[in-house]
Amino acid sequence: MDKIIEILQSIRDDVDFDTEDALVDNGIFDSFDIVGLVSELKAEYDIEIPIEDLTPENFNSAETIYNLVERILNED
Amino acid sequence: MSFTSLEFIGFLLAVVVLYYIVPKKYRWIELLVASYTFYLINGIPQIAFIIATTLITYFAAIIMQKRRDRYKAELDAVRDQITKEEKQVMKKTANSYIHTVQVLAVLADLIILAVVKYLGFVLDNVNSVFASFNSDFSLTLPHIIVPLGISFYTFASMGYLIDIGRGKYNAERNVAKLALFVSFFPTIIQGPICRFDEVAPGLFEGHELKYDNLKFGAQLIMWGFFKKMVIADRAALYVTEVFSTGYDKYSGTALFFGMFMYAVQIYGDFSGGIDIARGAAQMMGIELPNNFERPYFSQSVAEYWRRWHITLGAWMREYVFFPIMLSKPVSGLSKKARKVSAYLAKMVPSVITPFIVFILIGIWHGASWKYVAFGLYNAIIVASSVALDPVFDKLNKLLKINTEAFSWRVFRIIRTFLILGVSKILVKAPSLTTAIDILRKIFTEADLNFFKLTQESEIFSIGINPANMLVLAFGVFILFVTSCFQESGIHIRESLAKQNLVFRWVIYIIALILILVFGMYGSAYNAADFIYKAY
Repeated sequence: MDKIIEILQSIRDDVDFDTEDALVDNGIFDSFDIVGLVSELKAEYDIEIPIEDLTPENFNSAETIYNLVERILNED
Repeated sequence: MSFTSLEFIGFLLAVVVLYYIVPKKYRWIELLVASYTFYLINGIPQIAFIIATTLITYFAAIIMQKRRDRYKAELDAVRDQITKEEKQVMKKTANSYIHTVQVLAVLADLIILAVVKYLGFVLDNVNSVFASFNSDFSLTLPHIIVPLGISFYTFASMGYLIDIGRGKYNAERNVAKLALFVSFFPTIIQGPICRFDEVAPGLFEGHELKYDNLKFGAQLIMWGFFKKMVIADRAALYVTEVFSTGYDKYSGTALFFGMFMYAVQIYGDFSGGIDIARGAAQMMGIELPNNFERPYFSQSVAEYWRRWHITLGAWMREYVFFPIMLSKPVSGLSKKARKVSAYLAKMVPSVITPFIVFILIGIWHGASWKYVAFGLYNAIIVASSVALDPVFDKLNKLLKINTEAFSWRVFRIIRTFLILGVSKILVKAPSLTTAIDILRKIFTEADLNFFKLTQESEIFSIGINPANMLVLAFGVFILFVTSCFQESGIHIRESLAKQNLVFRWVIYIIALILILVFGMYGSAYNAADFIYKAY
């Protein structure tokens, strides 16, 4: 989880990722940021996030992102 | 059949009444019959196109589903007996087959759309090339009437095919149900472009009669009528005249004012039509996605495309932007760029991809070079704002600008609105060359002295007299106030429902009177067809 927040901070250093839960809905992360994040997550965890999982629900908070990564890691 | 016509109201009433009479489990069939009836009313031969797209989409999805089911069954049978590598080979084989089917089917649907909408444009350009070589050779195409909603239902179908290809959900086994998804009459005229898994439950489950659905649906329809008939059709008088081929007669200021009028017209027209579509669906308990969220409050062009024609932007993001940005070629390019700098690694894909997306959005709007220019213009703005983001950041810090301040937000809203005004003129002008000339006139001659327009008598001889302008201004004011409420998170219809009975009914009656009295009828009535209808 800390690693996730570290990656998120590297994209936007002015957001409090412990409390923010509307990253996509509030327009803090746009499509470009999502792509950057997906690349970082791929590099860090060696996972492929399917495009249909690139939804606001999955990317609105550090916690939901963490859950997504966990789910994909456990799928194989 | 136009949305804002008595025929449509009559048709809708009949459909809604019949919906609740028919037993619940057959209600979706009633919707299918209603949708095909609606389609046939709008033109009989064109039904062949939507049936073709539906059948191609249906069979391709079933083929993909069967292959995926076979893969899963085979995997389950040998799961514990084979290695991880063997499992991956099985998966790859299945996916490659599914992907091929998906690509072929999407191409087939796309080719139908392309031939109907764009072949004429392509041939015209080919013929011009021949003509410039003084050749007599020319190709002609028999005149095809564009099938109603072909851009919308084709995109919905392609989205469904790609979703099935990705294994997001199971293919629809019932061809009639898929046909309903593709042809659903509220969405056929101008969208919204729906995702199958989002609307399928609503479409196929028969809904109980609920007073709230009827009430809120009818209110939304009335609101759409207001935006379309009181605001959009009125502004259209000015816009159609001033942005016609006779634009030369008008001053730069008149054209500049026309830009504002067009912004009002296109928003009222398109979002009004969407309101009618969503309201109609809501009356039967079906929820359709929103397509507009106060787009003129956007602070950047990128944000605008998340608030205007939302379902088209979402479609592009899901099926074009993300696949391209996350594809192997682009990731490879990005890795190579990383050797130069991290900034470049981010920039290269972020600059190239908007061009692809926006040119597609541009030509989606129509077969003309002005639409390509429109796409390019938006692409350049979005790409450069991404590329220049660090520069603007430093500039803001240097000038000590408070980016949280309300005044800063207002500045960004106005700036975005004007940037998009240019973009809208590219769309509205009769052609690319006239658009450029109109823009030239505006930039060299226009001033903000709109009051002098009242002295330019030819403007007020085209029907947009001072009385009409006042009604328009009043309409826009109401629209602005409600938009501000919505932007603050207030849901108008729900809030209204909580007010006192007398207050509510006063509002309803005023709204009805406004539409009946101030709706644009008469000679403009038939001519002012929905702008997006021919898409």
